[in-house]
Amino acid sequence: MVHSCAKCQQRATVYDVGGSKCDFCFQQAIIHNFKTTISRKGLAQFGDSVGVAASGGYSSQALVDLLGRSLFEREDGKTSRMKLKVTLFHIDFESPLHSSNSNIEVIQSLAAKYSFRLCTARDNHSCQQLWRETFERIAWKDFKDTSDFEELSRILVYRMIAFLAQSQGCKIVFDGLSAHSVCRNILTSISSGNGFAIPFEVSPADISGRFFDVAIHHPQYDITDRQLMRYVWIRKIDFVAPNLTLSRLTASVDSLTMSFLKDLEEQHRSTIPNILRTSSKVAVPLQFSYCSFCRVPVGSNGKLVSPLTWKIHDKKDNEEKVVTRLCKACQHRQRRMSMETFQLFLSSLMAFDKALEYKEDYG
Amino acid sequence: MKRLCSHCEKAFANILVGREDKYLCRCCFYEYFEDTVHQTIVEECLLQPGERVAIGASGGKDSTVLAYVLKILNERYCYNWDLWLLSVDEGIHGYRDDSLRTVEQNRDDYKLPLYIVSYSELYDWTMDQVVSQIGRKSNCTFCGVFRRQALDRGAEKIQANVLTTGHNADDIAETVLLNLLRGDHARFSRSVMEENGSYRTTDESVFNKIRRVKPLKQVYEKEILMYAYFKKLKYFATECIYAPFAYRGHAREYLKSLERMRPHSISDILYSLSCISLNKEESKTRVAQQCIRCGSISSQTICKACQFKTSLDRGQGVLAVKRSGMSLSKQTTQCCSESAERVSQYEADSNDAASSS
Repeated sequence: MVHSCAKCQQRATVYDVGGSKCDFCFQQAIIHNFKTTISRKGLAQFGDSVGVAASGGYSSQALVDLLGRSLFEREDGKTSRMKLKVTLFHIDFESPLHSSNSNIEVIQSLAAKYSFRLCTARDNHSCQQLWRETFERIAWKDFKDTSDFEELSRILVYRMIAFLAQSQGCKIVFDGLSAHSVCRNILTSISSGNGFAIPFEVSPADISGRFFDVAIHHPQYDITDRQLMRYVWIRKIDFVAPNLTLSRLTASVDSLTMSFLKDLEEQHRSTIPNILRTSSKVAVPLQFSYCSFCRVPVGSNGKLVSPLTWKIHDKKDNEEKVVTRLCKACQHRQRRMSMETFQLFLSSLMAFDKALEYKEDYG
Repeated sequence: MKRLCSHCEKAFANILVGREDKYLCRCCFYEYFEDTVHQTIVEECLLQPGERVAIGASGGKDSTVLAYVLKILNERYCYNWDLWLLSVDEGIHGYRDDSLRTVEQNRDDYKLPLYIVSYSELYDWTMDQVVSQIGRKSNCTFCGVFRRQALDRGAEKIQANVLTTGHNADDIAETVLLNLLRGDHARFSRSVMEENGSYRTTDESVFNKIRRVKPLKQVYEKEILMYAYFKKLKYFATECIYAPFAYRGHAREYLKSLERMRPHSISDILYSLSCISLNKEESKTRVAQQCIRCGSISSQTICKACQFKTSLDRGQGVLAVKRSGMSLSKQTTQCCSESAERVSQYEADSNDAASSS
């Protein structure tokens, strides 16, 4: 049986929310969704300098392509009204989760297509210094499962992206989080005791101010993984597949949650919109602080999390007393890791945050 | 390799309390378990001395352990609670009749009085008859609504001050996830408000003096199971024959996988609930009123149990749980409010007639 596109009656190739669509109408729908999110949620204004966190995965490749098409194309052949200066940021340090060489090639080709600038972490001294002090010095035997490893990578990567954006004069960064990723983050926040962070996770705009002047927005927050994958396949965009050896089904909380969401969605199609809609009913708290480790907003119905005092050694090996606040997830993380590794990470991250806040160089 | 108990460091450990990463021997585990329940009761003022306490008893491990622990705490701290077992007979052949025998055995073992309420008495319908009409989907919706009201009615009959149920930390965490996954923001809001202690309906003290409390809310299901196993308590371990098709199974499966990786996840979910605050529209408490048919507390003119009963009597049970059932309930509400007006008008007329004569 041949299905027709609900809009143009051509032969349909995609079965999506809203009915069957042909390739062209599907792409137009995704672009329209993307542009509407940016304009309605106020993610960027005319003439802004915008950074894009490009990992080379299908989600961020789709984001770069959507941004490029939104800026340069219109159906009626007229020039697009969106005017943004776009820079791509890529963290190209080697880690067990991904190899940077193949990532950079796919990003470079897409950047060249739309004449976007590409800026990598290896070219930035501060990011190199942070990487050297943290990832290259930790003892891998400290990690009992890949969850902590993935979470620590994410904590470092977001900070480095914010630093790179600031160094290039970008106050806004777009990242490729899809609807599935947002729902995964909501569920993992709840299950790790960070229910306070739900309104910040679900909002496409970064309302937390966690990276000081730099805001990291999610313009693809209501586009599902299936739609993004389909888009990337139709447009024949190269991307780097995730490292499957490290992402076994139960290797981490993130992969467990993602596989659960995808399985549930097969039986109950409205799972993702349900989670987004319910989470958006949670109020944004008026008073909160930030976790010193992961920069997630912390607080408990108006009460701030009790501060902890740490002794941290600075570069001259002087001991310094520092007051920190840790979210529930980081408190558990601290118990799972060795004290030495945790203190190493904490001291480096706090110093990096200071450099980010005061726009100084790190190291 | 045998480990020593983390608490007494004398006996060998028999159980790992995952959320606190402690290895405990049997005696220390009993103490830990009973102290956790006692602390919950004391800190949240769940039960007052001298009250008549109805224990919702299904014969399962949760209610059996609850009855046992409350009896022990009552004797140990001299609270003078008047403990009653309250059981509901849903009329599920091959399941409920067996579990009721277990409840009767609990009554004999713990020497507590027992009162049984049945669906057939209250609603003229058993769950087997309900399932034969509506099928295997959404039957938990009917059973849940009927059981809640049945427990309230039973507690009223025995003149209890408070009704305790065996809901544990796993149940509450599952409910939170379930409501989030289904997009049921009304129930999600209510569970947040209940956890924050701010869910109170207006005029509750006027209509209903029976409080509902969950003394086992801080305890994990695994700990309850181990307590019942070590204490050799007799309980009924079979799942309801209609349960496998419930949506809750998805949330449970996810929670169990999460607990295997991170044992403290369940208590973290409860902690997350206490951190959430709701928008003003969501946190408005609902006004309690009495159902015009049966007199039970409800947020609507006619309670859900009466609506379901009406739809079952009409042979339209399936519609009651679907969207189109909303119009059915509105019709029912309209019919009944009109008939209530006619009744009150008739009474007023007859009073006038009586006073004039």
